[in-house]
Amino acid sequence: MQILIEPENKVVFLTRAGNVDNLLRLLRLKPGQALVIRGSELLTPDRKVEPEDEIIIRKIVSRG
Amino acid sequence: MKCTRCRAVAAVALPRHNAGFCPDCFQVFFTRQVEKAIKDNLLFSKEDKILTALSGGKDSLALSRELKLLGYDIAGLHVDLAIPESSVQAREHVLNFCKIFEIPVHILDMDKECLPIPEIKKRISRPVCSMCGRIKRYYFNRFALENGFTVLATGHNLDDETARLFSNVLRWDQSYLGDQGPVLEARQGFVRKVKPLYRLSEYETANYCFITGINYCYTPCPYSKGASFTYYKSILDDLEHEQPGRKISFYEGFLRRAKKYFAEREDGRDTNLKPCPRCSYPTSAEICGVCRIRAMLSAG
Repeated sequence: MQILIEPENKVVFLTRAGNVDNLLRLLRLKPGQALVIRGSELLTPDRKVEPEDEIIIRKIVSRG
Repeated sequence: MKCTRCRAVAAVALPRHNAGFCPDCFQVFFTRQVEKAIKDNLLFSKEDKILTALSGGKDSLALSRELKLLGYDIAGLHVDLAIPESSVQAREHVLNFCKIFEIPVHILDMDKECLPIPEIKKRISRPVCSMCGRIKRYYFNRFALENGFTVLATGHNLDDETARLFSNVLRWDQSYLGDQGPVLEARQGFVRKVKPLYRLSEYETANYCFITGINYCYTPCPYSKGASFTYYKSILDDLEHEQPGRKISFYEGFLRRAKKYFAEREDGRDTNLKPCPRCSYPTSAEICGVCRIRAMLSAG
C-alpha cells in the first residue's frame, strides 16, 4: 500500500494495515488528526484498506 | 459506518457527537453548527458589513464560503506576510478562492508596509509568532474601521479556542481570560470581533474543505515549529481521543460558568488607552506595538 503523507509529501509503503484505524495507529496518528483519502473518497476509521490502495494522509493541525 | 441522518456510507466520523455523516449530510451538520454559533451569541446580522480575515488556510476559507452561502455581506482581507516559504502559496489560494466564490478581496503587503516578517525574525531571538499576530490584528482591525466594516470575522476553531483557553488557564492570565470567547465587543478604536467556527474542530473544517472542493494552503509557516499552541493542541487531542467531547465542554463550560468573573475584573481597563502619537492606533503604551516593531526595524 502506497501512502502519501501531507504536508510533508513523504511517501511510505505498508504491506498490511487492515483498516484505517490500524493504519493511523501504525503512522502514530489519531483519527481526528488527519484526513484519510482514497481517490475522491474520505475514509472513516472502520473502513478496510487493501494492499493495492493508494492512500493520502492529510494531517490537519494548522501551524501558523 | 453509516450516516446518522440518511444511512448512506459515512465519510466523516465524529465521536464527540456520537455520529457519522455522508458528504451531503456533513455539510448540513457544518452549516447548522455555524448558524447555532451565530444565533446563540448574536454574532452579526444580515445588516452587518463583515470583513473576514483570510489566511488562505482551511478555516478562513471554510468560514468565508459558509457566510457567503448563508447570504451575509462579506469581503475578505489577506495580509501578505512576505515569508518566502509560505506567503506566495497562501496569497494564491486566497485569490483563487475569492474568484471562484465571487467574494471581494483586499490584500495588504507587509513588504510595502516595511514590516516583512523574515526581517523581524532576524532581529529577535524569541519566536516571531507573537509579533506576527500583533501585526495581523493591527492591520485587520485598522482596515475594518477605515473601510466601514462593522464586524471582523476570523476562522478560529474549537481547537484554537481550547488551546488558547488552556494556555490562559495555565498562566491564570486574568486579562486574556476576561476577553476570551466567540465575541469581542467593539470598543474604543477596536472593531467588533467574532469567531463563528468556535463550535467546529480543525478536523471538521478540513473535512468540509475536502468535501466542498476548497483548495486551501497547508504549507506550514516555517517559523511556527515549536510554537506552544501546537504542543497544547496535541495534549488536548490526546484528551479528546480518550474522552470525546471534552474540548467543547471545557470551552463552553468556561463561557457559561467562569468567564464572567474574569470579565468583571477587566471592566474599566480601556481608560488607559490613548491614540499612538505615530499612527493613532489605540495603545496603553507610549507608542503602539506595531510602531515599536517598525522602529526596531529602522534602527537596523
